[in-house]
Amino acid sequence: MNEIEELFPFYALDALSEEEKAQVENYVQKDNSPRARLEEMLAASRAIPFGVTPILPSKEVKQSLMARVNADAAPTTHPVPARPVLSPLQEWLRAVWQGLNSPILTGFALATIAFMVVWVVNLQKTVTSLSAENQTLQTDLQTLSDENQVLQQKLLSQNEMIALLTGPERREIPIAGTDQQPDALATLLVGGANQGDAILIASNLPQLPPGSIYEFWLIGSQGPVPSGLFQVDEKGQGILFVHSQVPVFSYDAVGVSIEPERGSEQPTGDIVLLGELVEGESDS
Amino acid sequence: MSAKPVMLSAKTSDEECVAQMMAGVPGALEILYDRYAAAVMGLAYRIIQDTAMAEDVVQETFWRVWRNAASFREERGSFTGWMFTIARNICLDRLRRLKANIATGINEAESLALEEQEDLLINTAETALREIKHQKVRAAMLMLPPEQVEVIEMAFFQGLSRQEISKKLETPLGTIHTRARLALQKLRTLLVDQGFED
Repeated sequence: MNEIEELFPFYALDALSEEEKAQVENYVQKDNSPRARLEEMLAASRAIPFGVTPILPSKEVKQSLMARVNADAAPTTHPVPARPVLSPLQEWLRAVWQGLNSPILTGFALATIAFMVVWVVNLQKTVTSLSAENQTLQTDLQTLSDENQVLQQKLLSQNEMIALLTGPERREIPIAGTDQQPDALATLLVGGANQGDAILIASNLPQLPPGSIYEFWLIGSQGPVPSGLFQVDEKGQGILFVHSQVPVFSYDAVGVSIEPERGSEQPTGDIVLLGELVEGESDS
Repeated sequence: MSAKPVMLSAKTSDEECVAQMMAGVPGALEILYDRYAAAVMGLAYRIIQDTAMAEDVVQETFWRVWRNAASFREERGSFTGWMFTIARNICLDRLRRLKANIATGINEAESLALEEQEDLLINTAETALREIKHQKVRAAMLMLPPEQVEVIEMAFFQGLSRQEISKKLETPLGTIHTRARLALQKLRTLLVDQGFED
């Protein structure tokens, strides 16, 4: 590996000087093979932000942002354009109109204008009414579309759950609360003896203050392995999708502890749920 | 990228939202905000460690997304990659300014009221898919050796150069290079194995 390729990881992590970046970019322009290697690292680097635990910003952030954006998007008031220069034909029509300036024609013209005004006002009302109706229908359509999206997402995640819950190899592992939370209980649904996918369904857990989170552990001979973070809702219920690289039943036990919000590499807080992993008969 | 008027909904793709923003449609930004504000906030808080400043970064990130929508190039990468780059750059810039202010005796951090942190996203069915994506990356990161993760974190979340990391860890530069390379290669392999889509 040459000196430039040594820089690839730091290029992907955006931790190079401008000069070093230029060196890397020049280098990969010449050859497809290093470009492919760099792209692999860029792809890995792009995934890193997804590993950070999401946090909802306060509602005021969105309100303030959208007010700023709406003000930016609003059309500006343009000055009234100066009267255009008339073409020869327009000048002729204007002269004819001025020449027909008799009382009878004036009266007729005024009556016509009055009729036109009434007609335009009525037309405007109809357009306004139809526009409001259209707006309402668009809002309804938007709402229905959003609801449909939510339902589709629910369906997709529920399908995953159903596949796990109804699979022939499915196991249910009950997990009891510890002395720290004797009322807490949970069930771990494991897709099969050789699978690493599982769902933890916990209940009767208290909601934690800001800065804390529940962390799930798979515990084996090498000690506890951090396997996911979750919060509970106001009813004390929480769900966690567990994806283990090795079969869940290769571990001896599972547990849940209270940890700082970013999680820990080893349990540091109170352990609230603990259960033994015994590979019994499937439930089907 | 097309900028024809379309009916916006939660299903509208990121790239179509960007096209609509270029046409001056604020609703397109709102969809992207609802979709990614929590992820950007999580990233900003991870780097800055201050709720009020992280919220400020969220607002500034989406403001720049709005104002600079025309500079997004789909062929150069995904919208999320572009957005996270904007957010990270703002964070690192503010972090450097904050450190410079502290060094000169201006304690800017103390002047900001520390607000209550919003609850973390509840792992409900509505957010299950995004949660799965988050957990795939987190699980992959947990599979990496700690010394490799340390280098990635110092470069990505703290914005340190490879020379600074080498000095801080009192480790030869060559070793730092190797750790970073192995970390990204293994992370990529693990994510591909898990079917992670960028």
